[in-house]
Amino acid sequence: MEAVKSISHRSSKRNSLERRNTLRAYAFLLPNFIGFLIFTLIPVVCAMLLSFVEWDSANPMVFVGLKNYARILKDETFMISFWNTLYYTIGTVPLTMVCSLVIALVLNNKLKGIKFFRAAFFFPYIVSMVAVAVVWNMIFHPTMGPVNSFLMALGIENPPGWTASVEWAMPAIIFASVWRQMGYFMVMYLAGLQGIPRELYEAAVVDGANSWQKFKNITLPMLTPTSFFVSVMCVINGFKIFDMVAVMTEGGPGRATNVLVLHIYNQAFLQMKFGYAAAVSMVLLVLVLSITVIQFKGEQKWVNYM
Amino acid sequence: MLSKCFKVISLVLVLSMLFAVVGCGAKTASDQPAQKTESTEKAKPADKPAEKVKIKWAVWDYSLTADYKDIIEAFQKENPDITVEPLEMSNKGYDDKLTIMLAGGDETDVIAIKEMPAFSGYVAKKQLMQLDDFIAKDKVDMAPFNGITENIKIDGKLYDFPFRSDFWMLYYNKDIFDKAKVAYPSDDMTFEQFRETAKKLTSGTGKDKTYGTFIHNWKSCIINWPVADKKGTLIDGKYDFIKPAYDIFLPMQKDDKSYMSFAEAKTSSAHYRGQFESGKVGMVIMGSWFVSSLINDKKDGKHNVNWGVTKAPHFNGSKPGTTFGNVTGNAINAKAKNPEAAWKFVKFMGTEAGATIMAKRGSMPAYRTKNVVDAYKGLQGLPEGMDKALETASVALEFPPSKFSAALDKMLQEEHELIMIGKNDPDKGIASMNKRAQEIMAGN
Amino acid sequence: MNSTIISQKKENQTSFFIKEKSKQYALKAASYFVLILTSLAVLVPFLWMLSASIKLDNDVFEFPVRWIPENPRWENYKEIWEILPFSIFYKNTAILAVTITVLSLITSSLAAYAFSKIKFPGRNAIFICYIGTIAVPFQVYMIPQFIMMRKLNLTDTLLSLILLQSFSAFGVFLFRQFFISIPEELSESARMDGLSEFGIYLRIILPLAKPAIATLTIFQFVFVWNNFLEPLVYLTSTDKKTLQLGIRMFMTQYTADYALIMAATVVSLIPVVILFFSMQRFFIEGIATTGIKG
Repeated sequence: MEAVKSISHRSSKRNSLERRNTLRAYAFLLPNFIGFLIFTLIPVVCAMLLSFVEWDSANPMVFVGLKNYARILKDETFMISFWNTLYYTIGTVPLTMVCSLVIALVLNNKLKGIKFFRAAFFFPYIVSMVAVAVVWNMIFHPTMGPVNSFLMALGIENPPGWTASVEWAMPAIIFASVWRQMGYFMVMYLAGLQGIPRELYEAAVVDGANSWQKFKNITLPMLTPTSFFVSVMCVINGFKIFDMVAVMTEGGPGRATNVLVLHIYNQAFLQMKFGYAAAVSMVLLVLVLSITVIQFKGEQKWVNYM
Repeated sequence: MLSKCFKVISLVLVLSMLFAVVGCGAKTASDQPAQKTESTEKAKPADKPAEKVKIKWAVWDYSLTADYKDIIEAFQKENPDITVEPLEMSNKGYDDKLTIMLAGGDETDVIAIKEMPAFSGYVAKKQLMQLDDFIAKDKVDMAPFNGITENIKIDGKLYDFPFRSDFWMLYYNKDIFDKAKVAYPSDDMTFEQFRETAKKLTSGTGKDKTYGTFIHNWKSCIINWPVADKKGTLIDGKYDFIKPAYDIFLPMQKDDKSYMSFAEAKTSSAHYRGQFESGKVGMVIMGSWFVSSLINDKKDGKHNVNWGVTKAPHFNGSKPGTTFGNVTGNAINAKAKNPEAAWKFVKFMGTEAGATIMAKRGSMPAYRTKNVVDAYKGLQGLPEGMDKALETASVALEFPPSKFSAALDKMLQEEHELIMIGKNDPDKGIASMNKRAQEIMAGN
Repeated sequence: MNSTIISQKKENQTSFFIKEKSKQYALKAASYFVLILTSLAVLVPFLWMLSASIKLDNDVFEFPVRWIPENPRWENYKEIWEILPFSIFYKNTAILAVTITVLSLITSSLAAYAFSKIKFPGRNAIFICYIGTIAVPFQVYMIPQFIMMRKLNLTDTLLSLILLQSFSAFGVFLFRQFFISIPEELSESARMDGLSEFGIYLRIILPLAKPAIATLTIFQFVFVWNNFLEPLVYLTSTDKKTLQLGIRMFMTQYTADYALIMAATVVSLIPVVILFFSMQRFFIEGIATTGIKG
C-alpha cells in the first residue's frame, strides 16, 4: 500500500519534472538561441529561399520555381566543381583526422618543450594565408622546389607540375590543407584527451593491458564525442573549402581546382545570379546535413551505450 | 527522431519564410522610401541646407595613393561648401563590398569604378546615374578624352567619367642590353623583333639567370595584343583572332625559353615589379602605371635599374603605337544623397584640374590637354623615350563593358591558363573558348 | 660457487638494465629528433613570414629563398605604424576578439548544457539546425544578413560584428561534444545534494570543462582575430577597421609591399601567440590521467 502510493507519487512527480526540465532547457538555450535565430538562422533561411527566385541583388526578384535547380544539372562548371569538392573532402578528412590524433597523442605526454611543440603544430593555422600560398607554391615549384628535387633524386624523370598542372593541383592543395588544419584539430583532441578519467587507465594497467590495448579499448572509444566533432567539422570545412583554393590556385589551372564555394561566389558576385548561387548552396547543405545526420545517429548509439 | 527533425525544420522554414516576405522581399522591391539613413551620425544635409554639403566617395587604395588626397584638398579649396569624405576599401574585394553595399541601398555619392565587368553589372542593376545630362548642362569639352568615353558607353549612355587611362608600353633595362651588346628597342618594333631581342638577352643559369622578358600571369599580357590591333574584342564570343599572339608567345616560352615559364612564374609568385626592379629581366611590357612605381621606388632607393621606355611592340602591318589600355573613372550612385555636389567632384577630378594634379604625381590622366601632358612630362625621373612612348596610334579598350563581361573574363583566364601550361594547344584552347562563350551568352 | 653464479647473474641483470636504460635514452633522443625536425618542417611558412618581414620588398620573392637576409630591414616594423593607423586597427580587433570570445563562451556553454544534459522535445532537431547553418557558406547569406543589419542601423559599427559572431553555433557544438563525455553520475549526485540545474552547470560541469573552455577561447579568438570577410562586409570607415582589413590595405591595385604585409602580420599575431601559450596550462593539468604511453 505504502509502496504503491509512493510509486504513483513518483510518476506524477516525474511528469512535472519533465515539464520543468523542458522549461529549464529552454532557459539555458535562450541566450544563445535568440542571437542565433536573428543573426544567423533567419538570414540563412532567407538566402535559401532565394534559390527559388532569379535575383541580381538590385532589380526586383522574379519567382522561377525550380528553374535554378534544373539549371544545376546542365551546368558543366557545377559538375566539375562538385567532383573537385568531393575529391578534396575525401582527400583531407581521413588524413586530417589521423594526423591530428597522432600529434595530439604524442604531444599529450610529459616532454621538455611541450609548449613549443604544440605551438609549432598550431601555428600553421594562424600563419597569414599569403605566406601559406607563397611557401606552398614554392615547395611545389616544378623544377627547383624541394618536393620535385627529391622526386628527381629518386630517379623520377618527369615529376608532376603540382599547382601548375591539371592533375596534381588538387593533391597539392590537399597536402597544404592537411598541414594547415591538423594543428587546429590537434587542440580539440588534446582537450578531449583531458576528459578521459585516469581511473580507466589505472584499472587497465591492473588488468595487464598494453599500450595498444589501452588505446584501442579506452582512448579511442572515450574520444568518440571529440572524433564526432572533428569529423563533422572536417567534412563541413571540406565541402566549404574556399580560402586555400582562392590563394593557391584561384580554381586553376583551368577549372582543375574549382570548388563549390568558389563556383557559388563566382555565380553570385561575378555573374549576379544570386538565386542560382543559393540553389547550389542548397545542394551543399543537403549533402553536408545528410552526412552529419548519419554520423549523429552513430554517436547517439554511443551515448546511449555509455 | 528524423520525423521530429523535419517537423521542427519545416516550422522554422515557415516562420522564416514569413520573415523573408517581410524582410528581404519588401526591401528588394525598392519602392519604399529610403528609411533610416546610414548608421553614421554625420551631417544630414537635407535638414540644414545652409550648411556644408558632405559627399562620400567610395574608392580603393586611398591611403597609399597620394593623388587622391591632393585632389580632395584642391577640390575643397575651390568648393568651400562641399566636403569629400573618402570611404577607403581594399583593392581586393572592392567590387564584392560595393555589390553588397549597393544591394543594401547604400547612399554613398561617388563610386570609383575599377573594372569594366563589375561596372557593367552596376549599370545592369540600375545602380548608377547616367552622366550625359550633367555633361550637356555644363557643356564639358569631351575632346581631350580622345574618344575613350565613347568606348565605355553602355547603350549609348555614359555612366563612368574617366579620370585615369593607362595604356601598355615597353620598359627595358639598358644595362642588360649593353651587356648583351644589343641595340635598345626602337619605337617601331614588331613582335617578331621583340622575340628575337628577348632571345638574345637571355643568358646564364641559376642565380645569374637573365631572362629576355617577363610575362605576368594575367591573360591580358598575351591575348590583348590582337585586341590592340582591333581584330576583335573579348566580348565577341569568337576568339580565333587571338591566335597570332599565341604563335609569338608560346614558342618564346617553349623553344627560346626567353621568359620564365608560366608554371614557374606562378609557383614562385614572381611579380613583374620585383623581377624588373631586381634587374633580372631585359624587357617588360606593362601598363603606364608602372612608370610612377619605377620612379618612386628609385627615389626610395628600392632599385637601381637604368631603365628606358618606348612604344609597345606591334604586329607586322600595324602602326607603331598600337596598344591597349584600361580606364578608371568615377560614377554617381543612383541613390546618391547629393548628386549635384557629387557631379561637381566627378567633373573636377576627371577634367583639367584633377588631371593636372594626377599628372604631376605620375599617374596617366584620361583627360589629356597639352597642359596636362606637359605636366606629366615635367615629372622628375622620367626616362628618355617617354615622349615617343606617349604618342599612341590607337588605344583599344582591354575589356569593353557588357553584361557577359564578368563571365567571359573568368572563362578566358581559365582557358588561357590551360594553353600556357601546355595542357591544350592554342587551336583546341580557342575552340573551347568559343564553345564556352556561346554557352555563356546563350544561357542567360 | 653458488655465490659466484649469483653475482654473475646480478652482473648480467645490471648490464641488462643499463642496456635497457640506454636504449630508452636512445629512443627518447630519437623521438626528440623526429619531433624537432617535423615541427621545424611544419613551421617553414611561419619562418618564411618572419624572414620576409625584414626584407626589402623586391627581395621577398627571391627564389631560392634566402632565409636570413643580408641586410635585415628592421625599419619595416617601424614603417607599418607610420603608413597606416595601425594602433586603431589593433584596438578595434582587440575589442571584437575579447567581447566575442567572452560572450560566445557564456552563451554557447549554456546552450550546450541544454543540448547535452537535459532531455527536451525537439532537442536533436534544433541541434541539427545549428550544425546546418555552419554548413552554409557565408557568401550565400551575406546579402540578406547585410540588408537586415542595415535595417537595424548597425552597419559600419563594431556592434554588428559582435552581434553576428557571439552566438556561434560552432561553440555550442564544441561544448556539447565535451559535456557529453562528462559522466551523468556526477550531475545525478549533485542533484541529490539539492544543487539546482544552474548550480550543476556552474559548479560541476564548467570546472570539469576547462580544456573545452580553453579550446573555444583559442578557436574563437583566433577566428575573430584573423577574420577577413565579415569585417570587409560590415566595416567601412577607417576608424572602425580591423587588423586584417588594415593589412590588406598594403595590397594595392598594381603593387603590394609584401615585406610590410609580413611585418604587419607578424605584429598582428603576437596576442594570438601569447594567448595560445597561456591557455596551454589547461591541457597539462590532466596529463596524469591520460598518457597512453604507459
